[in-house]
Amino acid sequence: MNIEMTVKEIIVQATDGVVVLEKIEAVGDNLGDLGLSSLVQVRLIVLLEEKFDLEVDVEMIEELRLLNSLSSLVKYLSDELSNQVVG
Amino acid sequence: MKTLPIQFPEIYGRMYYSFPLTVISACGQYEDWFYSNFIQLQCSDRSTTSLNGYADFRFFNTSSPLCYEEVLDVEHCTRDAYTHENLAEFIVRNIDLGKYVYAYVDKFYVSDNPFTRQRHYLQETFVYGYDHSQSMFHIMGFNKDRIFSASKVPYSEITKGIREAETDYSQPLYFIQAKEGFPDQIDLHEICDLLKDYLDSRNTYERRPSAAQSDHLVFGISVYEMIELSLRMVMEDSSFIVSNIATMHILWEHKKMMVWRIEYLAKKQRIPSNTELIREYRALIRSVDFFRFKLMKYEVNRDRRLLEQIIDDMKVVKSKEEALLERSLKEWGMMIGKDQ
Repeated sequence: MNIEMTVKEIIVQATDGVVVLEKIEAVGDNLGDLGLSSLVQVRLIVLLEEKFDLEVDVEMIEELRLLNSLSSLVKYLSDELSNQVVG
Repeated sequence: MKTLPIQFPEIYGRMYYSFPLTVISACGQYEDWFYSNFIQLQCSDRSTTSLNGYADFRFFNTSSPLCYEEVLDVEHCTRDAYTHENLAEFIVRNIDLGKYVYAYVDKFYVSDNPFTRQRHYLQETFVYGYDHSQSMFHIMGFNKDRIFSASKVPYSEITKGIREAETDYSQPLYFIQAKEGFPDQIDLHEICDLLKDYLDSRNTYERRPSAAQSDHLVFGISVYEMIELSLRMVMEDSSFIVSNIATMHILWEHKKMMVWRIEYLAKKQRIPSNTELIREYRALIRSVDFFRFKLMKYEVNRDRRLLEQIIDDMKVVKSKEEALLERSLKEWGMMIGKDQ
């Protein structure tokens, strides 16, 4: 699974299509520039949890700035999935 | 076209204080007053919370424009004042006089808010300017995405919203202006008294009477019990989750205010600088921010474990806050002794 592409698609879904893929491409790594509201950010986390069948640690969201950096978010999800496989 | 000066307020969880603060913060020298307030908290008592289905949680004495008369000139205007004239022109004329409009409006009729064309809901609206060429008012408030922001809406929507507000609501309009001179002295003694009131859950209205409603309330650290009660009603699907999210936002702002207050008082050399104390208060901000996030997450996925985590962790926050306040008051009490 291409995690980065999946994350981008889920961002579109979390915003009900208000944010389109082109806009996500345009901001590059800086997800903060999308100006997602708190509610959309929460929806994004819940959708990611459902999609990847994992639980995102709330404290990690802030500590790793997961909602500000696409690469951090993708790395976090990849690591969590790897841990699941190993576990 | 005219817009009056505004400043996005540091705290904005509820419009009844964010609107006055939008005016107050736009004036220089407001900090002494600002950091001397927003200390005490109040909440509906157990029976009222159970009856209403949610905890009505607020900063002490902030619910009406009349609570800010120390720093604002507040004129309230009955319906009779504009019954026979064009309401939009009446508002424009007052803005031209430098007065901001604080109105109670049926939000059903006003664009870009959570109630637009959905539900009749009487709520505060703040008008700080107009564009006559487009017949639009400049307003602030929570938009449809629940983000506090400025926007422009047609004259007709605001005037309809005011006129259609409940007919028995006799004072739908206030005009507010910042007073010329702000109190520019920090009263550390009063700040400590408010913190003691908070710690001891005392009714501060008994020593500081106000225009605000003061019955059936609990105060200070006891508010945590009412928040827990409200969250337990959310679990049973008998409480409004949005009200509880707003509560968590105010609780978060309350903790942030404490850190800013300590930093400000230390900068003004009224208390000793104490980075350890600030670090510990910051940890409370972080915890309450997680509560807020988890509650919004519950709104999306309805996982009850999130509410149970909040309730458990809130007990820890309460206990840490009590200990921190006792330490702070002991340290600052010595400063008051030195002042006198």
